[in-house]
Amino acid sequence: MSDYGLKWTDGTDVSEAELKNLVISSSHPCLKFSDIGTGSITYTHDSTETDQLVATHNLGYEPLFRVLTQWFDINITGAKKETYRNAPFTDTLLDGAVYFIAEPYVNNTQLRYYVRSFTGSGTESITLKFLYIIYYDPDQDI
Amino acid sequence: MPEGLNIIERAKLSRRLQVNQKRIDKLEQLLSGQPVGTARFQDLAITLAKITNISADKITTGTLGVGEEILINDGTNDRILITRDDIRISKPGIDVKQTITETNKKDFILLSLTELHKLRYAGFVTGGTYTHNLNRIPIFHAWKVDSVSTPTKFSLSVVDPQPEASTTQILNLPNPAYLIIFNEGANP
Repeated sequence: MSDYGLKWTDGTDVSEAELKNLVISSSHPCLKFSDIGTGSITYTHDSTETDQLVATHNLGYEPLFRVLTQWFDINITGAKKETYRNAPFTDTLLDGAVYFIAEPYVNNTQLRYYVRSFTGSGTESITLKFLYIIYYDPDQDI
Repeated sequence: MPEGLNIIERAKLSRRLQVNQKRIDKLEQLLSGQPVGTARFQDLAITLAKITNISADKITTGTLGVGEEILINDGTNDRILITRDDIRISKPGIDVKQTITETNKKDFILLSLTELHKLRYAGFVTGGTYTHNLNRIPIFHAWKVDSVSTPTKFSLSVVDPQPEASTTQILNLPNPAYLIIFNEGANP
């Protein structure tokens, strides 16, 4: 049996379907989750750097990832919001000055979160919640 | 025996009667549910068949019901497994029926409630807000576009306000935007 595999179309006849018509084809790798989870990071507005472990993936390469982080809208309300933005991002003050930089990153074993804060509003300790997702790299693992 | 037959004719008739009796016995066995040896049918209609083992080059059906699983072999390894819980495909050389662990799950495509993104929405959005009502923070991607009908440029914003997700909406979208939301996410 040389022509084996699984094709699932969007309604197009499977014998006539092009790649764009396929919901899934076993001839093409999918973007699979390795890990999905949540966490939090605490930092202080005192011009220091925080570099925190988020998750250990041990994939042996630097995987594709996404982190959505709770955003602290200090410009407007001074209170933490229950909304999440894709990191990395730079938060700025009304005058355009950089307030903090949120920058998650990966190496070949870990997902880590780096935050660099800048002075501007005392030394309040801030805790931001986040969710993350790590994907297998089809080129590396398939 | 009918009178008037010679001995040869009587013998032929006797053998024919014996053969016919065997045929009748076979039919009675078939009708009584006893196993019948090899039989060939040119065209057979069965209302309800209970088959222990079937070999077929082609099966055409409206509905194919399977109790446990469908297994497809590539000539060397079992590669595709369809069960009541998921559809599992293994990479070449990998037995699809082996136990999936954190270490080897990269060798499989799993069509199940996990492992792959399910698309919640993909399309253009105007007005800066999209309501998803997932009751969780979903994974999403948003681009600023120059047109919803004939777009020529998709870009990511680096300045505030940036797109944000709540448990019910995507907010602060560029106007217009192209938005992709997946069902997967979490409540941090």
